[in-house]
Amino acid sequence: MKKKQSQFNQQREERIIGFFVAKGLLIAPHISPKSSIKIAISDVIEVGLTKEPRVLEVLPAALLHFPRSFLGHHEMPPKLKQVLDNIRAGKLTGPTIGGIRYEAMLRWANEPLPDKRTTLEKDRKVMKAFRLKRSAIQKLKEGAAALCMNESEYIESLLLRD
Amino acid sequence: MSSTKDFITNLFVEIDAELDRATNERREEDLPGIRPLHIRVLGQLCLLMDERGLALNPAATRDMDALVVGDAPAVAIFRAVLRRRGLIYDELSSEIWLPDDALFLPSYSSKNLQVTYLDPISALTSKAIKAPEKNRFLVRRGIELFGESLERSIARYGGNISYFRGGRLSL
Repeated sequence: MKKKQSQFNQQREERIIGFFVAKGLLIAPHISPKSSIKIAISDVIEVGLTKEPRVLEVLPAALLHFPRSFLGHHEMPPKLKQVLDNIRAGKLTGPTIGGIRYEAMLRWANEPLPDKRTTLEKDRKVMKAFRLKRSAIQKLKEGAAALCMNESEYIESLLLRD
Repeated sequence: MSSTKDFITNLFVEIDAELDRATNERREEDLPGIRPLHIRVLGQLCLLMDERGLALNPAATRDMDALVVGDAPAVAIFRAVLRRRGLIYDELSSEIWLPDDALFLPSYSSKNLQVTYLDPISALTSKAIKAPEKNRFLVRRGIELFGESLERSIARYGGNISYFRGGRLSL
């Protein structure tokens, strides 16, 4: 019975770490990548708390980039949900999970993945509506057209220039 | 297992080739050459560079902790090659605590590039002292593998061996 449980735990660990390896979030030479699988959030947490805490370090990044690869979103521990909410809101501080500091989790959520296909949370566009005078809208259109930008890009360029 | 070692070795081969190219370009422009770059690899990646470290089945995130000494263009090449290969240089590497008797082992050597890495016992001691929670299970496997030599090293720097015998972490 004990042997079976240990075998199950080993397979679960390999599945979880293999998933993160396949997504380019972890390097683990002893485990082969497993890309097209779905994994339970509770299993990741269990592996993080009993075998390899580094899976907790990259879990928020994976949840943000590949949410459909995970099962059990509705059973997510409040602390983990808080971490995700803080990252989405761009907050610089948040809770520690299993000894992993929030800053470390935030870092991986904001790092481009090697496949370069995912949009980082910090680069994700957010809808925002304004009521402007017609004259301001006209100026916005003219300014954007002059720089071959759309209006959103033009506003961003004005706000984010050094 | 050898694929990760190859990946790391190829990384240094690529840095070496880029340093060579940059040195030649500078010579053609009558500029002084680039002095050899010295890299001392720390952190989780140093375990992946060592046969005994690999026996611990370590998993690593994509950051490279390393003490890097060299001319600015050489350090820039090092950073750029790392990025191209999906790794990130940890700018705070110099703040990593190392045991007084830390041992570095040779990994790669050429006229442009000298690479050494922290030996597994020194690396695990550093982790046990400064980040015991994150490294609890890794250090436990290390104690199983290295026995008294690691236990002595951890105890020497004030680490609590019994902590690593404990069970699951708390969320």
